[in-house]
Amino acid sequence: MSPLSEFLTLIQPLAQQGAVGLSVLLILALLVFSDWRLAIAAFALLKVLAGILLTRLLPPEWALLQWVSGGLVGIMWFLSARRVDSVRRRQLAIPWWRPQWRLDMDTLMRLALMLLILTVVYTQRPLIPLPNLPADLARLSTFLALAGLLGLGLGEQPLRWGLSLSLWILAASFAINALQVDVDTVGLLASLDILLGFAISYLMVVDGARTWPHPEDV
Amino acid sequence: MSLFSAVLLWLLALALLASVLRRFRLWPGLLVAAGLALLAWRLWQTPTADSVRWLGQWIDPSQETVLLGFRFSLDDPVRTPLLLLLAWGSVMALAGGWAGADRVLFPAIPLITAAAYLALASAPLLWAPFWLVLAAILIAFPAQGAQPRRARGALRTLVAPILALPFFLMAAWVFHQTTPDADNIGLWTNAWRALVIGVGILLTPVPLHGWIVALGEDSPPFAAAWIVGLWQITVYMLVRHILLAYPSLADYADPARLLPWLALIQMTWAAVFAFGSQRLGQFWGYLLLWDYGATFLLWSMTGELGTQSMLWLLLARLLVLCLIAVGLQSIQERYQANPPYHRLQGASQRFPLATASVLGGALFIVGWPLGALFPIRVATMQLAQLYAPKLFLGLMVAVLVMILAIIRLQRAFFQPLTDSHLRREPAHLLWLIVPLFAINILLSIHPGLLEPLTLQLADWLTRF
Repeated sequence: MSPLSEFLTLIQPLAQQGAVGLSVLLILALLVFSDWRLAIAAFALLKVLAGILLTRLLPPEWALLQWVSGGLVGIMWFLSARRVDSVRRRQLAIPWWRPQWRLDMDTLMRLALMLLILTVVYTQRPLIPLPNLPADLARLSTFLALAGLLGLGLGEQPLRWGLSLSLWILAASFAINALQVDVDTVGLLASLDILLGFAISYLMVVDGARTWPHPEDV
Repeated sequence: MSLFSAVLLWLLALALLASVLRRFRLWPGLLVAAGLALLAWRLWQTPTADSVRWLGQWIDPSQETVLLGFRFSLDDPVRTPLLLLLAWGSVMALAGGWAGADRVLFPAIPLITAAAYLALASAPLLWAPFWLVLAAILIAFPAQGAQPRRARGALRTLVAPILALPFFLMAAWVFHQTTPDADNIGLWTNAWRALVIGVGILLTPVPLHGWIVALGEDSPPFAAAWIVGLWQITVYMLVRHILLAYPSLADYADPARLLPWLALIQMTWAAVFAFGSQRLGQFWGYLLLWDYGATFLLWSMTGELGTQSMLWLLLARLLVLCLIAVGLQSIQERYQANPPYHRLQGASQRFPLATASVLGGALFIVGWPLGALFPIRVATMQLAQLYAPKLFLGLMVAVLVMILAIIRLQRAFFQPLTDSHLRREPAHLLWLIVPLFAINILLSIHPGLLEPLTLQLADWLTRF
């Protein structure tokens, strides 16, 4: 048995049962956390789970392309956010390890909105009947799309918009890949993800640079 | 080599050269303007059927190109929007280079034009939206410029094409099935609905076109004017292509019925908020939004019969937006990006040319006499009065409120000078603003001057 087949057998229970619920929690986390490190970590984990879930719709080598695109995007965002944050911390003399968890009004509002949407999803079970898509994945896709749209309304920081648009593309990936299994579509959606990640990482730097206390010292 | 590949290579080479020269003040603008103008001239002269010699190679204009599995062709309907995009790029690069626009703009013009060209030359539902997203992603760079600033404009530009993409992909899958499941009515209905939503997202006025206002506020003026022009030409041509390829779309949402009202909502919204603006960039953003709505209003009123008028408008508004951008560039260099109205003291004394170009250009956008858009705006109003009296009333309100907004801006420009050290505007702007005014007046008096161009462009666009 090849390592990939062995791995697929190993993750089979996760792809069938646990991954959808875990994904929902990670989506909530990445939209609520104000610390970029936690948000990017939640995004990376979500992409891992999305790759596992997509093995139900696509051949595994195509489904796990989510890991490649998610990894590349995550690294780009991590480097950009760290660049902005490290200069700011150095100029304000804040140590690198001190977390940026702020339980301010913005965070509480995001938390309240996410809990509201979670309650609505749990009680009402909204479902866009997407053709050929199993019900649990259709529900996850609906939730991803809703969370993406909601995230766009939660302020205009590049990282948050990047995460929200990525959620939208991920929702589209489930819907489209259920309809057609061909390499062009998989490649198109993955390259879209990477291109978006590239643009967002550039915007994170140029937008973040204006918040540096002394940009002239950089 | 096919004509498609030759054009694409030319644009990419131009972007590369402009990128190398971007730190010089005048050269990249001149290079891009000359390169795009030369390309437009060669395309204009190239026959549609026979082989021609380009850069030492024999080129077949009708040959299809396959790149990485994507199929492209530069047939006649694609030639028209490409020529429009080249004209916009060339004029904006020349004026931007002369007026000292942000250096990121010059390499971006040919590069983004290439992405829009790919969108226009590929299959309308399957691949065109993808290239449109690529264009939007590239737009983030000139929208942001070379200085750290708020990324609002660039971020919002990404939203509409990315949100629209899945709907187009879903519709494409249903329509392109080799063995269509004719009995599955639900699937077909969903596909048409998806197409309506996709087209709607690209055309919808608010809030999805909040990106235009954000561009006005947070992006360099030339970048904002050029991006809005490029985007509207690309979206108009793409949606027109979709409507012609899938005429049943009108059974689900008739654009002739909905689009005038969408355009009017956009114009009224823009006029009201322009009147309430407190900053120059805000006003500029809402003026761009108003103009965007007015262009779609003409399209919705004239439909396919008005193709030549639309082409006339898309060419003429370039001159007006360029005129305003020159003035704004000069003013923003001396004050700051997006200055509040109360800080514009002495603008009319120290920047008489820039003030005249901003105020004059804004009035020309509304359709004031002696501006290039006067004939087309009068025609739009006459059509509205004839076919939709209620719409005409709304349109008059939108025009009136926008004129009041311009009067407010004029009051801000004419505040007395308080800072005696404020430097005057550069004298070389005279050589840009005066010819732009002259061409505007000329087109206002004699709109037929553009007729040979628009006739040929409309002929290519309507060939199948």
